[in-house]
Amino acid sequence: MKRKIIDCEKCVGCKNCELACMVVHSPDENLHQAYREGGMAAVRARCKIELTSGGRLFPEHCRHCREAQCLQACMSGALSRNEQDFVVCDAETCVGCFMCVMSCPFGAARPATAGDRVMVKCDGCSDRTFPACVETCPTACLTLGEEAGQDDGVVYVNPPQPREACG
Amino acid sequence: MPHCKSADTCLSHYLESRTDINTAFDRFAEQQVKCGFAQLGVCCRLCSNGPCRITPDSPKGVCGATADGIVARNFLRMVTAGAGCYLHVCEATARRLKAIGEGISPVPIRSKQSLDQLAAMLGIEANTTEEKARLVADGVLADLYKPRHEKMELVQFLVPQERLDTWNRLGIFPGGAKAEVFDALVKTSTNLNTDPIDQLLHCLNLGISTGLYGLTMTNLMNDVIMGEPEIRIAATGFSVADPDYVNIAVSGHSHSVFAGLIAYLETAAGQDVGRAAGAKGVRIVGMTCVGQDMQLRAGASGTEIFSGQAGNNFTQEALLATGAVDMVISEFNCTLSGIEPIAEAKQIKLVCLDDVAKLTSSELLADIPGQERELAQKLTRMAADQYRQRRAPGSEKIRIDLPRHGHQDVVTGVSEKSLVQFLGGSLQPLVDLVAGGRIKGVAAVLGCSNLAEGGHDVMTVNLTRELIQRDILVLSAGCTTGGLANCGFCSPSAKDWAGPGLKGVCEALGIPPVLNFGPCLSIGRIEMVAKALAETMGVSLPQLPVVISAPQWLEEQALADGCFGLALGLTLHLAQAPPVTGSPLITKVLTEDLPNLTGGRLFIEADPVKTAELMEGIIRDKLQALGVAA
Ligand code: SF4
Ligand code: SF4
Ligand code: SF4
Ligand code: SF4
Repeated sequence: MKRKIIDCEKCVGCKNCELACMVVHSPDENLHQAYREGGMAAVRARCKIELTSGGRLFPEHCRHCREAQCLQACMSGALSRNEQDFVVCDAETCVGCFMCVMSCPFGAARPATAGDRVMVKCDGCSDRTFPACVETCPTACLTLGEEAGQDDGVVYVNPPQPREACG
Repeated sequence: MPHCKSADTCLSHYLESRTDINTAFDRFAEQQVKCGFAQLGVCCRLCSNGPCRITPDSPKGVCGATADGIVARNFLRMVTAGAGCYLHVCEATARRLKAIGEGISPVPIRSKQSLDQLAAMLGIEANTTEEKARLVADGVLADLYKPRHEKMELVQFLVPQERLDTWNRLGIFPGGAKAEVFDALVKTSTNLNTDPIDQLLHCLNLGISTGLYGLTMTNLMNDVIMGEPEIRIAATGFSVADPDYVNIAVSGHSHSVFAGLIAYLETAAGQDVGRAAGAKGVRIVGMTCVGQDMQLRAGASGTEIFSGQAGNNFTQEALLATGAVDMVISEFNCTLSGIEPIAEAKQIKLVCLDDVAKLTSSELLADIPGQERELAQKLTRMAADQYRQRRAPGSEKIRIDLPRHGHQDVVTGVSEKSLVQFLGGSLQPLVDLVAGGRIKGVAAVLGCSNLAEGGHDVMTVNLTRELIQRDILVLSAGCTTGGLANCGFCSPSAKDWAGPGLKGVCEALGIPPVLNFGPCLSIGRIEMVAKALAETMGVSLPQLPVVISAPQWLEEQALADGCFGLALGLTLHLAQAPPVTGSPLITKVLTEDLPNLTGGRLFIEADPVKTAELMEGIIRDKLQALGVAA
């Protein structure tokens, strides 16, 4: 299966991945409609560009972990692993306890910023042929490819040093 | 790399066959990944705390600027630049007219009648032609240079009183045009104006000076210097270039900058320079809008030495790649930097006459009023030398690969005056055609061409085809016209693509279904037609049953033109939203609230069929509101 490969050296911090993610999770999935009448606040990008304590850009994406902490912490059954091997959330079932938010070691499970009290996370763009963030990234920091030797659904290349915490 | 298409299939094939050159059609594909923040207008780069982008996680800039504030000032900056461009052309034209009036410029005045009419409209009286020219120019320059708190004086006759009242009510009637541009830049700088509505009103203010000075006064002054448009048949397309001549391609927007060159080439001495180089003579080939202007007025100036209009903005790289052009003279915009490597490969000399249009590899020869004759001689010599070098035996011979392209029977020279003349002295026959139901209405398809709307001229051509099929007469000005003419829409035979009503009218009058007003500056002429139509029908501009579309708007000038249309109270269609959709407030004002402010309306639609349906519906509603049977 093709996975998202993130080459941290190539990120320029343009945040178009965040924007693309918001657009595909907005009601009419249209860039020009996404910011309409407060609509922008209701959708939240599932990915986020962070700055490390060492000053490096770090695209923070859900890893779709093999041992997913969020999934294990979820008591309502909202989080599950789908056929495409992505860890996804069913917003209808989510009760907003945010145990997942506290469990994810990467900050990739996040509370929604407006609307219902639910968590939001990357769904791997399961219903699209291509992840929106990858499609939009102008620098090929985000690509899809075969990368052996790692279990998680996302592969990081050239990651920041372990002691560089995300701010 | 996939190749961007053109509605002009001949051009498309030619570009595909020329794998040796790189053009905008190739580069378009390489630039497909777009920055969404720029498209939305929510990126601000005004200070060192930025750039700031508006997202749910960061809904305000460091300074506190909101999406509405950031979008408004970005948009105002674009409109300001666009207004500045047209005002620059107006200023250059007025300076030339003044120099002629003062006897400094040796350039002839080709239409004394235009001068008399213009002076009369401005309330200027003088004993001699020269004095009249000087006083007109002085009046225009004085208005352009007024401070912001002194209102423009001269051009009020160009719009109905109802418009002046509306503009005064909204406080958008401009002061000195250049000062308005200046203060718009001040207003949009760091931590100054944060009121999106105030900034939007400033956009409309700039639209008014763009339209009345940048477009209309420029046209009227150029009519004096270069002669009035006359309806005639002309050729378009690459085939206008004849490689047996020294070919000078022109690009820009200021017709009278070429007054000296045209006058010189009209003399035997000018043509002899080309003959001495082994050519049959020297010809000007039209490229971009200034070529359109030459085409429009070629009945009065440059009749013999102007070959015709080769094509619009995005055809220039292909035109130069044919090898048929020896020199390019640019005096203003729409000269793509992409022509530079092609010019180098094809040994084409690049010259610019104004530093605002300076390309890295072009030679700047400043156009100074009073020195037109010397400059013309120098330019002609340079072009002839280039021709000689390019054809010198022994030197690497320049291959000429000129496709058969374009049309020989394009109807051109349509203006606010020539149209009225053609219709027998008034616009009443046109009103009767609409009122009698023979045609459904009139639409203007104008402005630029871009590659973004399905390809070069694709939306323009598809929309125009839909409109004429619906028996809607199309008026066109700008690169849209260049594209439409090259696709056959300005030739009489295009009547066969029109609906039965419009076809009948075309046959009866011998006109094509698309009336070719020439360059984008002629958007000002179309405004004058609209004003005359409104007067003939006894209605206000917002009531007028016409719609305008700039289906493939490209640049900042187009946005300033658009603001003019909206200030006039007209309904404007764009296929692509300008970068304002990141602001809920600006989007709402432009698309919903404007009818209550100026009476104008903006709508965005990318599909040509839906657009034509909407345009037809708007015309029908306006006709019904006037009680005219549709
Ligand atoms: S949300 Fe966090 S824990 Fe859950 S799969 Fe993604 S990265 Fe792993
Ligand atoms: S894969 Fe889809 S849902 Fe996940 S971060 Fe990218 S755009 Fe967002
Ligand atoms: S789109 Fe690519 S380069 Fe831009 S911020 Fe996202 S990961 Fe970085
Ligand atoms: S002016 Fe304000 S919004 Fe713009 S870059 Fe500076 S802090 Fe950011």
